[in-house]
Amino acid sequence: MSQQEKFQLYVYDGDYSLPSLDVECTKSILYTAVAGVPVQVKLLNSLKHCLLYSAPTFVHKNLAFKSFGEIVLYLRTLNYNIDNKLSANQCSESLALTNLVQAKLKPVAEFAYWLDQRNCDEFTNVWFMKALPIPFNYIHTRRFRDKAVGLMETIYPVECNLEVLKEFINRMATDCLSTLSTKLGTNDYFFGVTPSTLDVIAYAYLAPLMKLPFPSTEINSIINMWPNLVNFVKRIDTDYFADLPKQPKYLKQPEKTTSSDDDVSYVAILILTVSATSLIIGFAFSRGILSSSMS
Amino acid sequence: MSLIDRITVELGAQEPWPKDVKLFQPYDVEQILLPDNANCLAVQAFLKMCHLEFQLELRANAESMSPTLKVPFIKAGRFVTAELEGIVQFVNGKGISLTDKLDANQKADMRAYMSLLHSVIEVAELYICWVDKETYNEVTSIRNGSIYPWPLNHIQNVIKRHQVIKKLKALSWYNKTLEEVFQEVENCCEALSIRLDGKIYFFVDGPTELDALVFGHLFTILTTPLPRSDLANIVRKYPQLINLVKRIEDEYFKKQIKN
Repeated sequence: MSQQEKFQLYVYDGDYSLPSLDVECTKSILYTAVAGVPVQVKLLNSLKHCLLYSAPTFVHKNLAFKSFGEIVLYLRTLNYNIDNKLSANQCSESLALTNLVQAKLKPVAEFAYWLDQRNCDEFTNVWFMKALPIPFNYIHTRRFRDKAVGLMETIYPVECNLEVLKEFINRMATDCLSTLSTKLGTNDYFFGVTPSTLDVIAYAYLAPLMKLPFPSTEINSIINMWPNLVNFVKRIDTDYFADLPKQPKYLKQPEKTTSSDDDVSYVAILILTVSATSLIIGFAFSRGILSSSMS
Repeated sequence: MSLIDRITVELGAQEPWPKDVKLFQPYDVEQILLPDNANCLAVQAFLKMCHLEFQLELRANAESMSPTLKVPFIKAGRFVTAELEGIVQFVNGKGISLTDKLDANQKADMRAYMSLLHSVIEVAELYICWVDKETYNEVTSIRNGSIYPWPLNHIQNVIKRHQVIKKLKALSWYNKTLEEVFQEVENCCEALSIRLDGKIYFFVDGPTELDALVFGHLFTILTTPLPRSDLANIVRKYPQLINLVKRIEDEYFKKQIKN
């Protein structure tokens, strides 16, 4: 047990009943939860942690693994493997589907987080600015955005109009989600009764898009077209992350006035009413209608 | 796929397959590189599987002519469509499809495996061609620069290499070692071989675009002489895949020569 107590996982903080706001961190946390690794999850919220680690980092003794792929490979050498019950056929299918999810859903997530102007300005950027200590909040948000831009340039090099790009990415995502939904069918998980790596990766991309209060809700409504995928995310929530709080941690008051264009602001109505009334009264006075009746 | 592509598919559907379809690709003897050649061959195989006629048109600047800046692309009547996925949709729009008989589950399978090939084998080919020093110096730089006069060839090579490396970085492949790249390719071949499972084609009803894509990539890897033969050696470990490649070559590419 003394050896196992030294497993540490450094991640970005979670919120809105997500284990972490970063997709790669969510994958790592869920994988360790499913495999039953006795890991100590630490948050990147102090200067010291931000200085020493990037997220996700898995630390064991003096070894550090800095990506989900490396973490999984290392955990396999320690016999923490959640795919060992899969048949050869299922392994082959799992590899193909994980690649599909990575190739098609990663652009959607990156776009929703960092390239959609409203989402980024009103939610993602603000959240990360508050969750990370100065000056790392500036460095990390800049790095996230640069990565997202780089990815978009490689998948669609000829187009720089964001609206066209968004349509292209949403179509890719729709294709991928319909494939996933067909494969999942009415099962609890993709292969059998316990989650495999494919479930972990699918959850990590779907959950943030469903749960985060993004100002533009387009992708959320796309996911809601497949109820079995929505139930799949809820199932993993209840099985592994039942005790995560739903209330926002960093953004105390989600601004209701900006969250929807259709909401009527009462302050604006008050100002309009007052100015209109005073205008009428002023007009009445100037024409002598009111003054005559008062005298 | 943008709006223009969709209009192409919808408008193109009204006309039958024209006689003068041309498939544009770079010069295959002295210019084309491994990943491009694989994609061009995949499209040729697909069109042959559909029994559609086309003429090969070799152009040095095919890449810059393509609407998506990737080869190959076809010109059918008034329409120009690029890359395998786009061409498959264009052909499907005309009522010709290899995947009619597949159910939703099989179509999902096909999409997943095609994405596997694009995101593993194709990226690995790019890595070998542009990042591996030996291959870059002996093959890639010479072939890619062959169509430009000195000193433009060197400038073009540097620009193109920079673009590819940027792409590999975005896909987080640039920091992989050669061994890791070969391991990824091997996993991918293993998965394909298991999925094929002794059948003639990936789906019992006959060849599909997945078979065309697998053929394009594996045939190119097996037949292209490179300073490093590791990729070809990995593929040779899977006799089932070799048989599939040979079968498609005999069926669709040798017939033409006899005629």
